[in-house]
Amino acid sequence: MTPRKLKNSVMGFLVAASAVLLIAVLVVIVWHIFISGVKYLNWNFFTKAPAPMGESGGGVFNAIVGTFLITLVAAAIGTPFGMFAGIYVAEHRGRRFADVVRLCADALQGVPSIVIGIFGYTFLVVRFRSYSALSASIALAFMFVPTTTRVTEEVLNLVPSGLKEAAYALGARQSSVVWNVSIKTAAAGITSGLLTSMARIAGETAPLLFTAFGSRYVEWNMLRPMSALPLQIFIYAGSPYPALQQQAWSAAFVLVLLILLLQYSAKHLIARVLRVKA
Amino acid sequence: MVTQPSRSDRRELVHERIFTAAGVTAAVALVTTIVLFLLELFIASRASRAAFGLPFLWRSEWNPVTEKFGALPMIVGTLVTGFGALLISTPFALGIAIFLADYADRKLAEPIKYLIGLLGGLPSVIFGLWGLFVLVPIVSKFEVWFGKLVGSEALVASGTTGVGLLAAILLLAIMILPFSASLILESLLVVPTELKEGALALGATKWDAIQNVELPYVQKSTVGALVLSLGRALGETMAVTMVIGNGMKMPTTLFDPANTLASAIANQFLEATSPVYVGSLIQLALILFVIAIIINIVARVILRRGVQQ
Amino acid sequence: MEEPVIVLETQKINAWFGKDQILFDVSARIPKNRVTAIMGPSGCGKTTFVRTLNRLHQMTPGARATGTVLLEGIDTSTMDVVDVRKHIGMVFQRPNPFPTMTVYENVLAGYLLTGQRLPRQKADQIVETTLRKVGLWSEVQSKLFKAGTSLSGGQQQRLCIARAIAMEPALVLFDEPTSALDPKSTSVIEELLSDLTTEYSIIFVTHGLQQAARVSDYVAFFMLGELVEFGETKRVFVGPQDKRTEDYLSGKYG
Repeated sequence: MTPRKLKNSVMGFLVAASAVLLIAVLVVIVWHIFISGVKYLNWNFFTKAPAPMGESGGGVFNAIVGTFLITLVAAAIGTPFGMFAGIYVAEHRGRRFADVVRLCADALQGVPSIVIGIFGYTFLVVRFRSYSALSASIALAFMFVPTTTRVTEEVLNLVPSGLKEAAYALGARQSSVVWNVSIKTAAAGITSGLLTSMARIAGETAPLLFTAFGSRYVEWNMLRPMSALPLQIFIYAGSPYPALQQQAWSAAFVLVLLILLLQYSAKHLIARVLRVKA
Repeated sequence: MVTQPSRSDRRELVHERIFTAAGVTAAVALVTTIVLFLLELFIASRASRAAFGLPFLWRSEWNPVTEKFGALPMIVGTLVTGFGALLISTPFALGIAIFLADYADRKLAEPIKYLIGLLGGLPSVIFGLWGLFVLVPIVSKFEVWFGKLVGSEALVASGTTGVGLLAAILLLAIMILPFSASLILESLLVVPTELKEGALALGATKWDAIQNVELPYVQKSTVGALVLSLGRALGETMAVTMVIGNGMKMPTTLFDPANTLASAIANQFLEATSPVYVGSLIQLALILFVIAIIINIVARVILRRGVQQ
Repeated sequence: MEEPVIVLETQKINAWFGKDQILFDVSARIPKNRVTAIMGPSGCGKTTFVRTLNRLHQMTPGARATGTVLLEGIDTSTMDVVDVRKHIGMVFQRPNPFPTMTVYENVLAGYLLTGQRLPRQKADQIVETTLRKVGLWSEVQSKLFKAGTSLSGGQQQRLCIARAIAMEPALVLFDEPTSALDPKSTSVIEELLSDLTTEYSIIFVTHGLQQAARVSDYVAFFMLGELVEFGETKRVFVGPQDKRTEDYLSGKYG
């Protein structure tokens, strides 16, 4: 074997090994979450709020409710801003301001979540003089908007220009072309993007620490402190009680399931879009 | 032929105006957000600047009891964990990307790509949970063993908990791996196959083609991808917070508990009561924000150039 | 033959893409209720010319045009661009029915997209008569509420023609409408054109000489952005007055 051929084989082995390693790491992590998570699951876990200090049992129903409410409200606030900004960028391609908006969206995507949390605190909690689920939703909306902007722009760029031209040629105005042709044609792609963004913010902890703050009770009022699954995991993981640590694993399991469900629906939708295109 | 505007025309015109206004508003709001963040964090951290001024950046004392604050330990912690994680994960990220682009067939590549997406989509707090209960005990064993090996009681002592810089670096390396791997893969996939086939036709081995044709071609975008990953690592909060040990002192070894800018805030903000303490933590957030924005813009510019080339 | 009525007249149209000038002083008079073919080698500005008429050309970033377009004697620059497009229909190279709309909705797309609400009976009536005009009624009668994109390519293109004429335009622009179709679908559409001229005026862009000869009453020959020759199709094909036309007809430019 010549040195070159030997190198070829060695490097081939190494790149394959790194792929194997990645899979191994993933399997280990998922396995731990699954095994430790399922072990302590029971009906109470899904339906009960945390038990009073010192008592056993209880669950994370408060956090499940919180995650749904906070995520949905964040998406509801962020969607119009993100979509319209995305439409703006897509419809003004080539203009300098559109480039600036795109760059800002990219930069905002890279803002660390803890910074969003601090901003949520100083900008909202201090002004409202109270921790609240709503300030958490608004903080998360700051993460939701830039991803939605980019996804909307990308999906709108996939709409065949022939369709838009056909609509313009019929005398439609820009707003009508975008709404009735582009958005409708790209609807599945945009929905898929929204679900992916929701999956992302549903798992965020740092923006909630100083906004939603957490609560031991099942809370439906967005103006009051509220718990959420990531928050509960963080608090329980740091607790000295094994029973609570076990609940952290179960909560992690539930959170991963929720995120996988959102991602799966998103992927399914994308697959449908691609099939329509083909 | 030219008719008076009808009711439907007028309605369409109103739609058009609302639509345009909404687009411009959202676009302006997005740009304003960055300014708003800067302003808000700057104003909210003024108590810290009043007390320490610019030396806050390089003072190495962080003492909540005496209320003396300097950001250097956190800046060091952030840079050490960020670059450490990048150093460890980059060879694997490159390996995985090359494997998927050049070695695996579609049937194998698709599920692996799916797994990478899955790993990248796991929340930070879950990595933290796993890190705290699985990774940290392993790191602790290693640190104690290593401390005994070199005969250092100080290392053994700091190693018994397992939390600290090393655990944070390892966990971060795992977390940014799917991110950098998929970014590098994206750029590898746009390398024209003719180029590679050209090299192969000249008698080059597969690796020759990768090393001499493919990798030079994606040099710029790979650097962009790595800078983006670094930005991720520097700002990563929850997982690091859970395994780095909330150390206030300047770390001297990799086994020491420490803090990053992000983890210091997450660990201490709710305990901070005095305006100077709160202001100093917000100042850390401001530093982190500025670093993140700069890194992201630089990375995007590099990536865009890489694509154009 | 008597002097025809003019539906559309252009005066000195110039058009650019960035710094490249595509059209040079194009002045033409398009007869009413006739098919006027625009022909010439590829890249001669045929498509750009028809796209300046309904101002689609100007929508491309960096593209602009000057000159006057008179539609039935009215300067279109004094009209809202949206009204110009309602009066000038267009059929594109590739069939492009709206994938989110049914066959029925595609016929009415012009009304739906411009916010005009039609009473149900009126809508039904427009759909039926328009689909009859393009010879599609019997074929799609049972598929009215299926997606427009579920039809065959030739049917889709006739649906697009229906979509354009449902707005009762004064003029319909056909931009190489058969270039993506099989020969059979092509001949169906070619035969349709002469029926349509009883109600509509047609501009038909084609790069096929044979097709221009088959379908058109008048022909405009473009080269390098200039209108080289315009006249009745028979006259131009039998006795071209310009050397360049003659060369093209004899196959010298491919």
